[in-house]
Amino acid sequence: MILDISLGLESERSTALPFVWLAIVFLLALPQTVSLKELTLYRLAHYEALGSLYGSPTTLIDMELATVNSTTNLARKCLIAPLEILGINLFTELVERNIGAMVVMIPDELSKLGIHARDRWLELETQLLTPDVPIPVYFAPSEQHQWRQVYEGVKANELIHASPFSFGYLRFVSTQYNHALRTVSTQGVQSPALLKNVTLLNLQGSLGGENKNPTITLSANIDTFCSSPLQCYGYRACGGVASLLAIASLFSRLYADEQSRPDYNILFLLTLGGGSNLNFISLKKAIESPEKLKTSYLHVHSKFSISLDDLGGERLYAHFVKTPNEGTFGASFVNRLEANMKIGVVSEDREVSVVTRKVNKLSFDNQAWPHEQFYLSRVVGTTLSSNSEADSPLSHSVLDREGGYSEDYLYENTQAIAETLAQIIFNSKQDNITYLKGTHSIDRSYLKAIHKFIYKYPRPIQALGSHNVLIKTLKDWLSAASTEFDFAKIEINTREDGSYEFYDELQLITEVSKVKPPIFDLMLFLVVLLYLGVIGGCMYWVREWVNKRKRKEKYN
Amino acid sequence: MTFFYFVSSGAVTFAPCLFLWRLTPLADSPFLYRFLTVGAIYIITQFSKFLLIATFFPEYDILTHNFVFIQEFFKCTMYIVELIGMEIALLYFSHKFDYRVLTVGSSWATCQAIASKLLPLWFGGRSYEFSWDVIVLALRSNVELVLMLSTVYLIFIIINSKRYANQSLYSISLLFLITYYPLLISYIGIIKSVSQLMLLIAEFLFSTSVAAGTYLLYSRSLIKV
Repeated sequence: MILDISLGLESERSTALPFVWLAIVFLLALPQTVSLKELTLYRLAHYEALGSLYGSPTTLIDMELATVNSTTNLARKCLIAPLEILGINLFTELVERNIGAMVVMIPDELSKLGIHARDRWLELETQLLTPDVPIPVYFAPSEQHQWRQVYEGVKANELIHASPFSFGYLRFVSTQYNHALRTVSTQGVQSPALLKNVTLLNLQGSLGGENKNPTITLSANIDTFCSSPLQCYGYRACGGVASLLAIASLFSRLYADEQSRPDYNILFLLTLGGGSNLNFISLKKAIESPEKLKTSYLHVHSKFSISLDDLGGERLYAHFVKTPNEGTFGASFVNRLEANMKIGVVSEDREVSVVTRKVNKLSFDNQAWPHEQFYLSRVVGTTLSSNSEADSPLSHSVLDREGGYSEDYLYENTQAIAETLAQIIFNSKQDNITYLKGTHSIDRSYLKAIHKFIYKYPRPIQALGSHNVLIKTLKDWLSAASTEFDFAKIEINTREDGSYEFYDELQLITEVSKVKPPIFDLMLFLVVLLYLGVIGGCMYWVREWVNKRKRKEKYN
Repeated sequence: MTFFYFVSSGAVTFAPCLFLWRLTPLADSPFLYRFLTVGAIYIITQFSKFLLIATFFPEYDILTHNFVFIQEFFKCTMYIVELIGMEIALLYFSHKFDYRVLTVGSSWATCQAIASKLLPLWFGGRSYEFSWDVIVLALRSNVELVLMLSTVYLIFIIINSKRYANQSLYSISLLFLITYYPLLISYIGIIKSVSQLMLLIAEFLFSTSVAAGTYLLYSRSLIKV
């Protein structure tokens, strides 16, 4: 009755009707909701490689947040969890509990992460980088401390175990909130678009450049690969690039003087897209079809290739296809390198181990190390790495950050490699002569600065290109350190190289809002009805009372 | 917040005004014309108020959260313009019909609710996030409705001071209180940073006591309003 009247539906008095219509028009035009907290989320790597789809095609979600401690039904909820508690067992269990999505919070200081937590996560991350990940996974950046607040908020609101009919639950419902998470596309699209202009690049600089002289090639790969592309800072992974540039800078000074110029050419090769995740496409192109580059003739005389991987370990592993025989270039390189590493001041019992792995020439995507690409083009080579096995999980992880990694080892190893190179190209017969001393040695601060600079940029192949600041700077540095410099963009030939397609929307805007459970809506509505009923009743009573008084007056 | 909360808080804000027109003796009279007339006076009053503020206090900053006594005092004083507007509305309707206090009071309060509450409720309703502020805002408009009815009756007494000679001093002092109580409220709100809910309770207590005082005046005068 009261409602009817208040809505102006009473037939004889319809003067309020225009207002009701106006109100209805306004309500229908109620625009989309907006929220208060806008945060950033990164998506799991989403790409197609060799016919399989990696990552989740779902980008936009609108779900309630929950933590692993939640006792309620997790179905179609978005789980938020710090990286340190996640592991493959928990993940499988959560997927069985039907969670809708997962937000992984990357911790502030990765060095404080326990070894068990780290290994657990690395195992899960390897799993996340396989084709069949059942749910969308997102990464919350560590810089945004609000994520921690959100997590604490979600956790605090899950503590209640009261029955839905008790007073405690009532109080809980009126004072606590659920958290809802909604991701919004930055470009206003429903599903992520294919990235059209992913550039693969080779930067090539050389010293010497005499046609008749043999060439030693040094190569390193710039881009990194991990589960969250825009957070692939790759601290270990960029050690190779840094030491290559430091060596180039040192040797350019040695080659500048005509008298000290040795009878060797050195070729420096920086590849973008020459990693194992892309099946070494750039490297392969640089070796197999170098026509485009000015320095390409050097490959013809290539005598030995050294690929630099992560160089920050106490031990170095020299990876070969076959164990180098005594007297060969490879064997003498390893021996000299080991001898030079022992000169270093950090530790005396450091050594180089030779690891061999046979190459399957027929298999298309089964190559693990860059030197295998050189081998396929009949260039003997080695890969220097502090990992004994290819694709160690840590080098393809979001955990590859600063901390837990000694700068000293990188410097010592770079110095040892440079010294070995110097001994070889200056044709030293004696083992104990040190060529690179004083100002003619690797500049420690320069190496550190380059390393820090490269580390500042996340380097997934999707985000780099020839116009990227980092790539431009690397170009400048390498061209300054070499007598001849050239670079070439690489096109992927889908037939030979396999198809690689990358998807956009790596970064999403996320709205986190505090919302009330549906039971609260109902309660609020009932309370409002009661309140209005009381007010309306009072007014009705006043009216009756006034009418009664009027009638009395009339009789009087 | 969702659409649902928008409807709930909108109902709390506007339903009492609607009830006033529908469930009180006002229901027996055509109200739309009167409401629009009062609305026009309300708009003109607000314009003149803003003009005055803009003229005398060009640097007045609405967004500052500091308590500046002069500013707040001036803002409260400007309420006198609104009182004059209500008086004009009362005079406009004088001797035309009964219940003009109720008509002017409810219309003025409705206009104020539309002008000052509709947009915040609208944006609160658009927001995805739940917040008690919107519901507090809706309840505040009810408190203001009570206060407005008392204010209009007090002005009515002053206009007809010949008839209520012994009451006009009381009513002037009550109007003075009504004019300057926001000073206290904003002082508590800003300096002591009291929550919105406590402020609402304070306003409610103030309004009910003013309404009780007004009712005492009303019950002493046996003349029909």
